[in-house]
Amino acid sequence: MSVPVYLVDDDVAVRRALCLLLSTVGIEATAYSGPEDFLQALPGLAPGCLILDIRMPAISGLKLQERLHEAGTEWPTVVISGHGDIEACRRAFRNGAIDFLSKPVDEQDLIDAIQKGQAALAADLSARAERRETLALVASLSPREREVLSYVARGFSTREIAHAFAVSSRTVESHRAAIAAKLGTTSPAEMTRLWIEAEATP
Amino acid sequence: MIWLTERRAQIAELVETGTRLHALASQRVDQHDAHLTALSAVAIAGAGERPDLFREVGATIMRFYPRITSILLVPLDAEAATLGIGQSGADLHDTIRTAARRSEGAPVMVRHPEGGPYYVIVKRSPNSQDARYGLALVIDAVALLAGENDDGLRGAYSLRVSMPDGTALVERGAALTEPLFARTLSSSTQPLRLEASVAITPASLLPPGKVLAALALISLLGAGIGAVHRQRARMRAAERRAELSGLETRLSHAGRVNALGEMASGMAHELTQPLTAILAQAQAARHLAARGEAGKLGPILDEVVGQTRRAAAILERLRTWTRPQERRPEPVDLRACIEVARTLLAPQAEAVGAVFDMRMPRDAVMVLADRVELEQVLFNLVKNALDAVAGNHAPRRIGVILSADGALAQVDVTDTGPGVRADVRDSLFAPFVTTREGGTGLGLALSHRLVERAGGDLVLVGGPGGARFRITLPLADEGVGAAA
Repeated sequence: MSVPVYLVDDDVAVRRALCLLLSTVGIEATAYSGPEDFLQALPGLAPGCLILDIRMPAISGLKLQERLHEAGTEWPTVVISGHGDIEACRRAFRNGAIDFLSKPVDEQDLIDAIQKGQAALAADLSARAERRETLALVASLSPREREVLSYVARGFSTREIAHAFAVSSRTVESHRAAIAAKLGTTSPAEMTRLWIEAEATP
Repeated sequence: MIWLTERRAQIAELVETGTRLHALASQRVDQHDAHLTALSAVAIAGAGERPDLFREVGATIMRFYPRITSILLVPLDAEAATLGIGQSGADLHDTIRTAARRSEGAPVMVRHPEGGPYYVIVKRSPNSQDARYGLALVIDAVALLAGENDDGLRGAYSLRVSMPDGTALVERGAALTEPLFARTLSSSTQPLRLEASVAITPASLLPPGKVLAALALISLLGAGIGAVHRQRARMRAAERRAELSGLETRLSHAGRVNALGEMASGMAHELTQPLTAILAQAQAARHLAARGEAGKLGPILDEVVGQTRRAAAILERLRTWTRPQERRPEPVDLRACIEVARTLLAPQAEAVGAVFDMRMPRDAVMVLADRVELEQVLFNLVKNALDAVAGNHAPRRIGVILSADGALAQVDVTDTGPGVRADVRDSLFAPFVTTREGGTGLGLALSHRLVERAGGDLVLVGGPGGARFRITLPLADEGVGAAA
């Protein structure tokens, strides 16, 4: 599970120390001296776990978090802060932070948070991959097959569907066989799940 | 009837004024809670050892809020001495002690033992069963309602402000029997009652026989006078709106008094940076040592030493900041002070990629001042400049230009940042004015005071581009070059 780790902190000593510490436990982190630098590099970066200091000149960590959120970059974010400001903590979590750590940050807390972030990102990525696969499967159906699937998903029997389409039951059966072959399942429940998932994805 | 219409207009105006006063007073009393919290933090932080700090913070608050006539820190142990500023007395101390003992957390409001328009709001400090002090603000209820230029309600109004138990703090105009406006302030700690009424027009008191004739006359007169009166009332309302919007600006920076707590947290933040670095370096070293990679430990230890020094320098600044009374004016070379600021801020300059442009005469420029204070001022100005350019793309240049001319030394600190916002220019040196998120607004205020104390001046020089702060100080007798 090798997910990149990005550290954004305006303090050079903190950056150096945290990167060194993480490297000794086998986590390679890339450091950025501020939100601007990070935003600039962002388009070329692979999805990763973000460690963000909250209080930086110009753009604060919280603002950066909001901007990323607006831009649709939903990477797991660990917010670190020099003081336990409840309001900032609340805002960080509202923006989707997975953890909020007070500086000085203890090694184990940081590693735990990063691992949590990496796991969340991996789960998110695999969920996305699965969704993509579902979409591709459903897209492979012909328009007629998709129509039949929509009736199956709504719980209609073969006979009812045949009646609705004014065709023979055998025709519907053959559509169902084609759908089963393309989707790789004969279970109506599984077909329904795939249909609903495909419908729910814009 | 015209008279009735007139009367209705009067009442409408009264209700409008009353509503405004109510909103204003409610906002103002809320600030008292914030002041108590901030002062309590200062008291707990060590009023015993640092009475000057408590007094200084208290004095700042009182300067900005003249309605607060005393700030007192009364030890619950009656033998110990009371700390505070403003009017004080044994009766008042007893009142405060009793109220503090009664408090179950929330501040308690009581009447001033000497009466008058004063009330006292008391908080126990620390706010727990183990409270050692009663912390009190004495508030003048007349000033509480006062606007910038007038005294709240003027003209034919009667007004009463009373404690929740009904005792009046302020009574103005004819006795209030049936107030037309009555509302309690929306504060849980200071639910003062505000009541107002309009004096009854003489017309209604005339004997019945004359009423008709008089009414006709008065109606005519009243229409004219009423028009003038309404016109005036409208002007007053407009003035008051303008005043309120000015007040809002001040309120927003009143909120900054709350930032006193933040001052402490700002310090804490600065200290956590080196601590974070030290902790992480040490933990990394432990991993490396466990793996037998001792050769990699040298640079780590250097870093730990460096960061510990950095933390010590922050502490030293904190100490000198909170030790204003130990002032020792001596001939000081301004060049050396500038060097100190540069050295202390070099890491930050490196971090934001800023370049220093230092221009100093080859000979010493001596002024008579406290060395630490001057270093503090230059540190503050250069640090502000660094913060200002940090948001810039390029260039990030900090200029420090020292010159001596005739009897005056001059230091200009310039930056290539966005400049000082027009709306804060005028209040730049007032405490708690800041444009930085998380700033305390104390840096420039303190710098200004320190330079003035050394007989000099600190100003913002206008001009295009970034900010330019100028310190002017009288040269010491030795003048230029004597100590070179």
